[in-house]
Formats: sequence, C-alpha cells, structure tokens
Amino acid sequence: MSVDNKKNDEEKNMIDYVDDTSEKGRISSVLKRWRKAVHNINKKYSKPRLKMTPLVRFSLLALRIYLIMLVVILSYKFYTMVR
Amino acid sequence: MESAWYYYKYRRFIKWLGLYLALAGPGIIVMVADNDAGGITTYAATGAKFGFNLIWLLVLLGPVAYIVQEMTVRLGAVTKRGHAEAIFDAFGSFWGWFSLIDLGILDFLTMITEFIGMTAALKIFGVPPILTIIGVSILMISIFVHGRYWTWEKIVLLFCVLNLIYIPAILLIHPNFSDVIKGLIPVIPTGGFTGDFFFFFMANIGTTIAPWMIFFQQSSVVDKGMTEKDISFGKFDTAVGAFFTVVVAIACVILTGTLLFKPGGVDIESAAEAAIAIMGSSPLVGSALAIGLFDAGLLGAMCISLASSWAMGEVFGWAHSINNKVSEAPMFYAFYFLSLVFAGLVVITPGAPLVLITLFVQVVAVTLLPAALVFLLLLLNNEEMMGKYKNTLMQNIWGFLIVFTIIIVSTLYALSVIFPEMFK
Repeated sequence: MSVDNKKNDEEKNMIDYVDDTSEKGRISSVLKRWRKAVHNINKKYSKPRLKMTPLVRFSLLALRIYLIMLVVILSYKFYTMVR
Repeated sequence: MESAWYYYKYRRFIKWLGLYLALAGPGIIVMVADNDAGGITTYAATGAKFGFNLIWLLVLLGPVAYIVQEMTVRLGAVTKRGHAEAIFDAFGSFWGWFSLIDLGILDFLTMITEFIGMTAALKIFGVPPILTIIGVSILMISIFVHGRYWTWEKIVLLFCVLNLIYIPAILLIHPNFSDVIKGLIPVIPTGGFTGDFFFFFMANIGTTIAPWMIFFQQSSVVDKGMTEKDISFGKFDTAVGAFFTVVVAIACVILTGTLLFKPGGVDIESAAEAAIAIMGSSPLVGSALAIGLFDAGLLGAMCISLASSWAMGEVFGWAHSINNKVSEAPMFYAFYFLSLVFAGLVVITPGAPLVLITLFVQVVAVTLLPAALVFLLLLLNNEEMMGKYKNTLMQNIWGFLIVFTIIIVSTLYALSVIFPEMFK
C-alpha cells in the first residue's frame, strides 16, 4: 500500500469518526437537553400547592391503576380484532 | 316614557351582544370541534345501529359537557394558567407527567382519526388521501401562523358554521318527527344491555366529553386573556356551544337512523361508508354527510393539535401563545407541525387498521376521562386558588356523579369484553 493511499484511508476513517461522533454527539446533546428540561420541571413542581391526605393520594393512584387496567383490556380486544 | 325604556333595553342588549361577540369563541369552538370525525362516525354508526332509540342519551350529554367545560372556563379565568400547568402546579410533577402523557397519547390517536375522517370524506369526491393530507396540513399551518389569536379564532368559527350542514340535510329527507320525539324518552333499546350497547354508550360519551377538551378550553381562555369578569360570558359561550353540539349530533343520528336503520340494526364502520350508502338514494344528503365529515375532521385536528402544543408549551416553559410569531415560539409551532405530519403519516401507512382505531379511540378516551375529571374537580374545590369561584355543592354532586357513571359504564364494557356471554 502506498503512503498516499494509507494517508487517504486514514483521512477517510478520520472523517467517518468525526461524522459518527458529531451525529452521536448531536443525539446525546439533544437527549441531555431533554433530560435537563425534565429535571428542571420536576424541580420546579417538587412542592405541590395542594396538600393531599394519604387517603386521597392512595385513591388517585388506585383509580389510575384501575383505569390503566381497563385500557389494557380494551387494547387486548383491539389487538384480537385486528388479528 | 315606555319607548324610552324599550330603547334603553335595546341599547343594553346591543352592548351585551357586542361584548359577547368579542368574547365568544373558546366555548363554541371546543363544543363544535367535539363533534369531530370520530364523533360523526360514532353518531352515524349509532343511528344505523339503534335508529332514534339513543337520541335521549345525546340530549343528556349536552348538559354533561356543559358542566365539565364550564369548570375549565372558571379555572382558566381565575388562575390564568392552562390545564397542564395547573395540574403540575397543584399536584406536583408525578401526577403532572401522568396527565401530560395521557393527553399526548390520546391526542395523537385522536389526530389520526381526524385525518382518517378527512381522507375518507374527500376520497368520496375522488381526492387521493395523500393530497388531502398535504392540503389540509398546509391549510392548518397557514391559519395557525398568523401570529394573532383573534384571527385564528374567527377563521375556526367559520368552520364551526359549516358543521351545521346536517341540519338542512335532515330537512331534505323528511324524517318521521314523531319517532324522533319518541327517541327523546330514555329507554334501553331492544336487546337490552349487550356488549354493543355498552360500546355505543361509551363511544357517545367519549365523543361528547374528552380529556383534550378540558386542556383546550382552559388554555384557550388563558390565551384569549379572559379574566374573572368575563366568566359569565364564557359560561354562556359554552352553553351555546353545548346546544349546537347536541343539535348536530342528533341531526346526524336522524340522518342515518332514517336512511340506513333497519330493525335489528345495521352495522356501518365509518361515516364515509354511511355517506356512500346514502349517496345511492340521495346524492345531495350523502354529499352533505361527506362534507360535514371533512369539516368535523378539520375542526378536530385544528383544536386537538393546538391543545397538545399548548400543554407542552406550558409544562416545558416554551413561549406558547398563538399571539406569538413563529420566530418567537419556535418549539410551540414545531410541535404543532410535527403532530400533523406524524398523524398524517400513520393514515397513509398501508394496512393500518383505520376504522378500528377510530372507534376504539373514543372508548379509550372515555376510559381515561375520570382521571382528568377528578383532577379538575379537586382544582375547582381549592378555595385558596379559586376563591369565590370554587365549585358549589351542586356542581360537585353533578361532577362526581359524571365521574362515577363513567367509571361504572367503563367497567361494564370491560366486563362485556372479558366475558362476552355475560351481556348477551
């Protein structure tokens, strides 16, 4: 392999490497930005204005789980109908 | 003396009307857009399956929709916050994310149904789906990017007027009005409590009140800049909208109930199918149904994509007013644009089960509705936040009655799915 060819291959590899990292870098920077935004939102709303008793909180959670279960059942019916 | 009194009353009425027309919008838009493509499909299928026998349910759903939506007017005008932001602020991020994710998924699925309705409607007139999707997206974006809430609202109100097309259509088919009046009396249709009955019962509730409507109207009230003193106008606006939503729903049921219903019920899969069937005997009425379906899908898509964009903007802190220019609120507009593109892409995907998606979205929406309603009721009962505008005892009784009824009907429907023999 000539020196020129080797140099070209190295340059090509370098370009691939730079492209790869820049693409990955872009994705990871977007993900980081979103994660930071979510973190900031969680921090901003960490202290709810409405004080809920444990019973109310439990009822809300129970209702939520129950409704999700109903949606799962409906999704199952949807899936069987599609099949 | 008497004429002076009448003149005074007349002037006062004109002043009131002027004020109302300036403030009218959110209530009428949310209620009329509620009769979206999925809604028209549900009403058309209800009429073909049960004739006029479920008209009473639609009449009852008018006040139900008013009771729910009126609360969002007060909440928005008093807190000056959209619904998503209000939930995060009042209940913290854990419940906030739950609500936002529910809304995001449901809105996206509903957006798909709007595109399904629009493409199916225009296909009847020979327009290919891809052209409909591109055309509608361009139209929606051009209405949206004016940078003025007022302009957007007034254009959307024009589309709301087109939604009334079913009313002249029923005058053309001469339905038996004594049968229609009989349909106002609450009775369970022949066959009793079957799985089909629960399905249609739920689908009709789901199309009359939906989580996106709560988020949309509250954000709309905030974006419009309504305050406590405008609440009475907001309530009136919502009542007018509720009236029209019921009238359109009943008109649609009368159409298919007269032209398609046969004893034992006829199964139709979509409003477009109903329009094609009707076109054979009455081309004008069939065309009206198709045009109405397209308009319903367009209205629904405009409002639902906006409800999601407002909610995301509120939570993520983006500039999120229609009064902002694109350069001032890029994320808000980008989210709106992307939701249109992705929903459109699903519709043109070959083999996607579009009819089933349309019917099931209504049912899943109503299943998740109680969670949104409970948060709404808790917010409206907070004296510190709402002051003298908090819910009265009567409003709470009605509110919780609606929540319990929906939970019970959802449960019965789920039981009919698990044990199909139970309700035969």
